[in-house]
Amino acid sequence: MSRNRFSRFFQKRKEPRNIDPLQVKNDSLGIKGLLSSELTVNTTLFKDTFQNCSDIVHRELLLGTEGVVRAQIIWMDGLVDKYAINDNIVNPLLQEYRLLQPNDVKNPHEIFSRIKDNLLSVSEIKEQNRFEDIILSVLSGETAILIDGVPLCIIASTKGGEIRPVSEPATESVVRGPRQGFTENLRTNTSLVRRIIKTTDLKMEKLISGEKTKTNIVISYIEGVADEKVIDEVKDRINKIKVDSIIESAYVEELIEDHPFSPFPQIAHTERPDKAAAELLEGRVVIFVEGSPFVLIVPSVFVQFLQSSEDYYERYLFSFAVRVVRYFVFLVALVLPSAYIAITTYHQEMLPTSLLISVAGAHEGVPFPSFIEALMMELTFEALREAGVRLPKPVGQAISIVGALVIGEAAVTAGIVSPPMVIVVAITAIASFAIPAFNIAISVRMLRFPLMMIAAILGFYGIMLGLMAMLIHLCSMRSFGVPYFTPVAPFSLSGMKDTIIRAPWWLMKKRPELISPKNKKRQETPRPDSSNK
Amino acid sequence: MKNKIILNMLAFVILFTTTGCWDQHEVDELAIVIGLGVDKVSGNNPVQITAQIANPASAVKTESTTGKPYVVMTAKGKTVLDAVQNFTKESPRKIFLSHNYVVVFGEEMARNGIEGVLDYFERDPLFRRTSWVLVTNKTGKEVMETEIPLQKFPAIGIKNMIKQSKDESLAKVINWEDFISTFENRPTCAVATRIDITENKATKKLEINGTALFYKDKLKGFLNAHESEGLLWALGEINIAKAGVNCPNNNKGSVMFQVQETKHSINPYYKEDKLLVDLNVQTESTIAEINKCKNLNISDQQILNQLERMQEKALEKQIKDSIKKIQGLGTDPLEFGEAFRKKDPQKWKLIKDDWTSHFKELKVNIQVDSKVKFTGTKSEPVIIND
Repeated sequence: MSRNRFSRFFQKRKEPRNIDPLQVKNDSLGIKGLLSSELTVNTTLFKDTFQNCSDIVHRELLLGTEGVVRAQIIWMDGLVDKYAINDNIVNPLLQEYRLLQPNDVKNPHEIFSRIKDNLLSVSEIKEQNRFEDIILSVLSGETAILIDGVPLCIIASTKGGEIRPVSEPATESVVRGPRQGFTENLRTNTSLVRRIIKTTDLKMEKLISGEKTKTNIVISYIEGVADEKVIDEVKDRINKIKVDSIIESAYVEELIEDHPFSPFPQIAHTERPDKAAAELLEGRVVIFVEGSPFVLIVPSVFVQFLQSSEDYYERYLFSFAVRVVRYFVFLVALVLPSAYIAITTYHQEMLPTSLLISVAGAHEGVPFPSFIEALMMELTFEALREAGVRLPKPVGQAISIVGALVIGEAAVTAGIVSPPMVIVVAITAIASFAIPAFNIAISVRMLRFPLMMIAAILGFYGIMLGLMAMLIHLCSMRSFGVPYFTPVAPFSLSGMKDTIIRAPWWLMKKRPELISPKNKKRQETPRPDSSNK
Repeated sequence: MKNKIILNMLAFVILFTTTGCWDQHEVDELAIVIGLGVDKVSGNNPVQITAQIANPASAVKTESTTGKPYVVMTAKGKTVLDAVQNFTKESPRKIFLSHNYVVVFGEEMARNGIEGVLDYFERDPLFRRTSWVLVTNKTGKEVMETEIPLQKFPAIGIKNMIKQSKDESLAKVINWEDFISTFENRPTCAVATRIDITENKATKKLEINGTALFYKDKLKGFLNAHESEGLLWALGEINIAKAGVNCPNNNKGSVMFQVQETKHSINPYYKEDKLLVDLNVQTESTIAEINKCKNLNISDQQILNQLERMQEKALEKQIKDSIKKIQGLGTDPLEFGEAFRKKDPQKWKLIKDDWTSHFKELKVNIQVDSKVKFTGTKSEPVIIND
C-alpha cells in the first residue's frame, strides 16, 4: 500500500480506458442480412438505408432491347472517379447488351459472371452479398452493381475524388532531405513508405475503428525486425478502441498510450515518409490513420523527441554539435525562468557581483516580486504564441508587432517588468521553439510553470526536487514495453551512439537493443578509408 | 482510500507552504556589501563597522547619474552583531555579506586585538571566505570612504590591486579562510596585507604597501614593500619578481632582472642546542632592463656569471633584512616553527612554549643560487654613441 502511495500519481494503465460501447452496432450501417435475388427488394432496401443522403446516386440501367435485364448501380458522389464509372462500367454494360433479346437471357447468373469477368474494365472487382459490406464499400467510394435475379453484388473499385496532392511537410522542414510529406489519403501514405522500403517483409495490416467513422488504420512493420510482442500489443490495443469517431491520429495516440496522466508524449508522430521508413527499419511499428497526415510511431523513447530527421542527412560531426545544442536548449526551456527566480530571490550569492548589481538596479522600482513578474511575462508570451498560431496570417503580423512592443519595450519603459526578465523570457521562448518535436516542446512549456512555482517557494532546492521527480517519472515510464528513458536508463552502450551524439553511419552496426531485440544486426559496412583498397 | 489521497495531498501542500520562503529576499531588498571596514572606537560601543554598499540604481543608469554608485554606512555596537543590527536602524535594506570582497582592519583595532570581531563573520553562513584581509595604518572607515580612480566600486578596486600584488609578488596577500586558519592553528604566524591612505593635498589615494604582522591576535608591526618582497622570497611565494643590481662596470647604472622560475627549500636543524635554518633559493631570470651601463657585453658568459653573483648577493641581503626585522618583532610569518615541528615533533614539544625567544635567536643561513638564462630580445644595451 505504502509503496504505491506516491506512484499512484503516475499510475500505469493496464487496459485502455473503459469507454461505454456505443449502441450503434446494428443501426450504423443500416440493415443486416443477405441480398435478395429480387432487384426491387434490394433497391428499396438500399434507398431506405440511404434515405436523405443527397450524395448517393442510384442509377438504374435497362440492358437489352426491351430492358430485359435490369441492373442498378450505386455509388457515393464525390468519393468516386466519375469518369471511371462512365467509361468502365456504364459504357461497357450499355454497349455490350444493346442488342440483347429476351430469349438470350436464360440464366441471370451467366450474365452476372460475364459482366464481372469479361466486361468491366475496372482493375479491382469484388463480389459481395451482405448488405452491411456493400454499404461500407459504397461509403468508402466503391461502386456497387446489382443485377436483377442474382443475390450477389459486384463491387468495383472506383475510388477517387478530390485529395490533397503530396507536398512538402509543414511541420518538419529540413534543409537537406526528401521534401515529400504524408497526405490525408491513406493509400498515398502507405505507398510513400512502400516506395522507400522495397521488401515483402514490409507488412501493412488493416484494421477498422470508430463506430461512425469506420476509419481505416494500417499497422505497418517489417517482419523479422519489429518485435512481435509489440505488434500484437498494438493490434490488441487498437482493437480495444471503442469510440464514435477517429478523426485524427491523435485520437488513436490518446487511446493507446501507456500513461494517460503523464505530461510527456509517449508516441511520436511524423509527417515525413523518410522518417517513418527509418523508424520501421529500426524495428518500430508505424500506425497510419486514414485522414491524418501524421503517422504514429511506437514504441517511442524520450531521446527520439530530440532527434530530427536532418540529423541523419548532415555529416555526423555537425549533427553531434546540433544535438548538444538541442539538449542544452531543452534544459534552458525547462529551467531558465525558474532558475532566474531562484537566484534572484534566494541565491543572490551565486551571481557575479557586477551582474547582481545590474540585476538589482534593473529590478529597482519594479512593483512585483520576481515570481509574479516571470509568471506574467511567460503567460503573456504563451498568449502571444497562441494568438499568432490561430490568427490568419495578415493579422498575425499585427500581433507580433504589438507583442514585441508591449513586452519588449513598453513594459520595461513603464517599469512594470525588469529588462533581465524580458531577456529570460525571450531566451526561453527561443529555446522552446528550438526543440524539434512540437509535442515535447508543449510538455516543457507546461512543466515550466510548476517549476517556477516550486522555485519561488523553495529556491534551487525546489528546482532540484522538481527535476528529480521528473526524472524518476521519466525513468519509470514505458512505451509499449520499452523503457521510456532507454538507452540512458536502462543503459545501452550501442544505443548511446544515437542519443546526444550521432555516431557516423559506419559505426551504427546494431539496431536499438530494446526496440528490435531479435534482429540486432543492422549493417556491416566498413569504415570508408582510401587506404582500404 | 479517498481520505488517504486527500491527506497525502494536504501533507504535500503543508510541506511547501510552511517551510518555504523563509529566507526569500528580492534583489532590490538587499544592501549588497562589497567592502567592510572594522575599527575600534572609544566609548560604550567600541566596535565600528563601516560597509561599502553598492547602490544599484545609480550604478546601472548611465545618464543622469546622481551621486556615487555606492554608499558608505557606519554603525557602532558593543559587538559585531550589535553593530550589524544597528545598520538596520538606518538602512532600509537587509545587509547582505555574500558579495563582500575586502575586510579592512583599522590600526587601532588591530593593535588592540581582533579576536573579538572574528567570530561573527566566521559563523555567518553568508559571509564570503574569499574576502581579502587587509590592515590599514589609519581606520577602515577612511579606507572605505576613499575613491579609487578608474574603478566604480573602490572595494572591487582594492580587490584588483590585491590580485595584481599577488601576481607580481609585491606583497603578501591572504584571504579570510587562510587568515582564520593560520590564526587558529599557528597564532604567531598570522599576516595580512597592509593598505595605506596617502594624502596628497586634497586627493586621497589608496596604496598596497607591505605586510602587517600579527602576534596572536594583535598587530605587531609592518613590513615595508622591500621587506615584504624579502618575506615572499623566504616563503617561496614569488611568482614573477624584479631584482636589480648595480652595473658591474660602473656604479651609475643598473641592471634589472625579471625572475621567472624560483625554487625554494627550508631545512631546519639543531646544532648544539641551537636552532638553525638553511634557506635555499634558486632563481632563473631574464635581463629586463639595462640602464646606463656603457659597454656592458652581456653576450659574454663571464659578465653574465658576474651578474648572477651580484643578483645572488642582492637577494641575500634583501631576505636577510626582512628576516632580521621579523625576528626583531618576534612574529613568525615565515612559519619556521611549523618547519621545526615537521622535522622533529618530539623536540618541538620542548621548545614550543618559548618559541618566540628561540625564534629571535634563530640563525638563518641564506643561500641564493641565481641563473640568468635569457637576455631579452637585445644583446647590447641601447646606447647613443657620441
